[in-house]
Amino acid sequence: MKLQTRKAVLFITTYAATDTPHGEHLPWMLSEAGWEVTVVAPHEKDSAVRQMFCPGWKWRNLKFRTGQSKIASELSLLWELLRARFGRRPVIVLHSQGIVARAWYLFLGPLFGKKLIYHNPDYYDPITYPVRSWMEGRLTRRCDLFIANEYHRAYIVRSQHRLRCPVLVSPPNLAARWPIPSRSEKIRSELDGAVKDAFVLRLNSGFNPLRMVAQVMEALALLPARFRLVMSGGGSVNPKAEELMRRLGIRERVLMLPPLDYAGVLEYTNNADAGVLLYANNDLGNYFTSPGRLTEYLACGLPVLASRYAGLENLVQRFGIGECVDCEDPRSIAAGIQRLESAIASGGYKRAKMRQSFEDHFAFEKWAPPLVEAFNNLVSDKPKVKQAPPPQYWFPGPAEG
Amino acid sequence: MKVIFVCYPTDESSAPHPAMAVATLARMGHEVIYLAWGNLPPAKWLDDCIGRIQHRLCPKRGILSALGFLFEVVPTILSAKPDCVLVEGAQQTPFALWLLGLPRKFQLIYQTQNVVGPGQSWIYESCEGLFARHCDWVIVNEPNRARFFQCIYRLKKTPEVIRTALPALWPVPERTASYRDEVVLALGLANVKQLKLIAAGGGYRDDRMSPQLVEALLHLPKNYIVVFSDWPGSDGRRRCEEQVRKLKLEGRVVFREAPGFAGMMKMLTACDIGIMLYPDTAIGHFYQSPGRLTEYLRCGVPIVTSKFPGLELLFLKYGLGETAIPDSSESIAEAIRKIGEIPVPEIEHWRKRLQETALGELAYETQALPVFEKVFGAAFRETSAV
Repeated sequence: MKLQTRKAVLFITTYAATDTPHGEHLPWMLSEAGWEVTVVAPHEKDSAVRQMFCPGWKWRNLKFRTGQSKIASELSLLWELLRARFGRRPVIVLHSQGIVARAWYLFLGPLFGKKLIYHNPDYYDPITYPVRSWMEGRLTRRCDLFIANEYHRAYIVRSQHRLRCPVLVSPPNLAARWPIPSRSEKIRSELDGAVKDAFVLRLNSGFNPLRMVAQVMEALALLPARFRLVMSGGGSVNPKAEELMRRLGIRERVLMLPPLDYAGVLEYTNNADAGVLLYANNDLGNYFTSPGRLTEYLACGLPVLASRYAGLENLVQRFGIGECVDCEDPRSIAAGIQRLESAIASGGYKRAKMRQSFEDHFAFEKWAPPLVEAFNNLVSDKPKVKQAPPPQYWFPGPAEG
Repeated sequence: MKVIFVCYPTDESSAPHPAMAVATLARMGHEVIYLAWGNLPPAKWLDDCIGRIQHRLCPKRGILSALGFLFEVVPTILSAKPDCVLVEGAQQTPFALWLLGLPRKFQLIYQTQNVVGPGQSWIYESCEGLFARHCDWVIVNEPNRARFFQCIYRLKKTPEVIRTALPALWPVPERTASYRDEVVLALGLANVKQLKLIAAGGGYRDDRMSPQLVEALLHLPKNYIVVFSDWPGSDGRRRCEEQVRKLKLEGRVVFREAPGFAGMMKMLTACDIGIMLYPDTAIGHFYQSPGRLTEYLRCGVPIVTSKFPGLELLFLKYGLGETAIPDSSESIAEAIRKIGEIPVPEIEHWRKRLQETALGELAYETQALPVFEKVFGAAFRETSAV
């Protein structure tokens, strides 16, 4: 394959590099495949991916929503988009859906051979966001490649926006090489609250109605006191959550963790017994969700308690990684938690098996080859596709019974 | 309860699924007026509902006769004063749009067992979207389709789901060794040892992955034979015969003349493996809930289907068969072989379980009755005879 242009990509995202590393996995893999990568992101200075795996990256801090005024923040983003538009990098990746509205008008007109890629790590539901969804459609139809983070979403966006370019899936999954802190008795005793035979559920979220936290708490109230919940509360306890916990009499069974860095989040996760992945069925994005938490739990060897929605349920059934429940119904959640506990007690959902499943099917390295190939195709002499086929079916590796 | 049903005709040769909702309602004692635009007379199976279903067929003679159909639908609704108007399928929505202008003294329900994917047909897509947005309820046949439908047409609530399926009381012929022998003899396969009959589930069609299925025979032993249903001289049959000749698979593919729905069900009872493959070309195929599913299951036939998430989940949950990549003849062959190599006692047990699943969790009533109760409210339960 002859290269037409150099393999250099500019990756712009509004997601802070210090929050979670999922968004930076794609440039990481491209960098390993010989691409010259420049990342523009808020707090990129402190990016764990760059510091641990890609010290050769070029990077710029994007001063977007990092403390300064809204106008300064906006100007900073517009300046970076314009630099990308008229700069030297032949391939531009617009990551994060917040960029759509600006990029739509900034990238109007001829691109002079530049390749434009839009990577949406979320989903704009046309019911909730009709204007943004429309703009997204206009932008994506101009793109040379569209990347979604979930297979159903990819398929639906392709159909909804009538895309002709290739559509690929890049899930927010951790790489198998991502360091997982070891288990610690100190943290475990913090989580189990000195309760004998405690069963600790981990929810990497604050009190968020879209994460069905109220229903999980109600389910907890239906279960014996050894069942406990650990949440990322960000230090302060939401008054609504406080009120609910007091009413249900479970305050002492719920631990709200202080703000933690990503390694800290994983450290607490690794000392829990199961992860919670419940989502409200409020829009298509949450119904067909592909949460980064999934591999955070699995990488730590935790089985999951997931919503019974087609996408998640398929994963759970296919790879035997947990239980699915009706997330609107606390009794169903409670029953699911009990099923998890008794399965673990009788030797099921072994940590090593969950971890193995993560490495075999979910780890980002498994997803990288088709993505890298698609990027290589963009700068090769291959003719531009007029109508790309639908995204290829999905999880790498054989299904487990 | 009085229901007006607007649909295309359900004739003897076609599958009964479009009319299943009103047939069920009629059996439960509700009065149904079935309005259809077409030429074929209603199927005999609707006979057991006669007295409760008034069938009015408007002859289809060119596009202008559509106006005649419209002049049948609107006055019927105005004079019959129904409790509910149920419109089935995107093809009816250009007519049904006129109903939106009528004084709404009835529940308006739109049900579809297909999906007009974006860009496939602008007229049906626009009419369907506009009509669905103004209906009291929308019913689709697959949960993922329901979510997609809501999103794409901006519906206020997620459509209800009733999977396309046969009801438990649908008569299905029993599997008998004598009938199988008869079929084997008629197909000229009596000398094939350990014969595995693979039901293609219809004629030779590209959108049923028939070319890939025929190619899959290259990777299977010679006792695996595919049965298509098609008329002699049809385009599909001609193309199939051409492919068979090209691949030197003579004798591995046989044809039965298209026997109508009842005949097709009878034929399935003689088969070992059912094929339910769809191409990965559009939303409608990708999120499938085909009537063929319970047809196979009721006949105790394990299925090979496309490895699409909705179908795959169903297969994982209920153990209905194997999934395969529909574009890959090797993958199809592997899935067929997995089923074909299951020893006899085990497969007999499996067949029984498949039939039980089709009669229980996947039966039409199991899914439809809770939805009917939700849609029609308490009145439905009170006025139902069963």
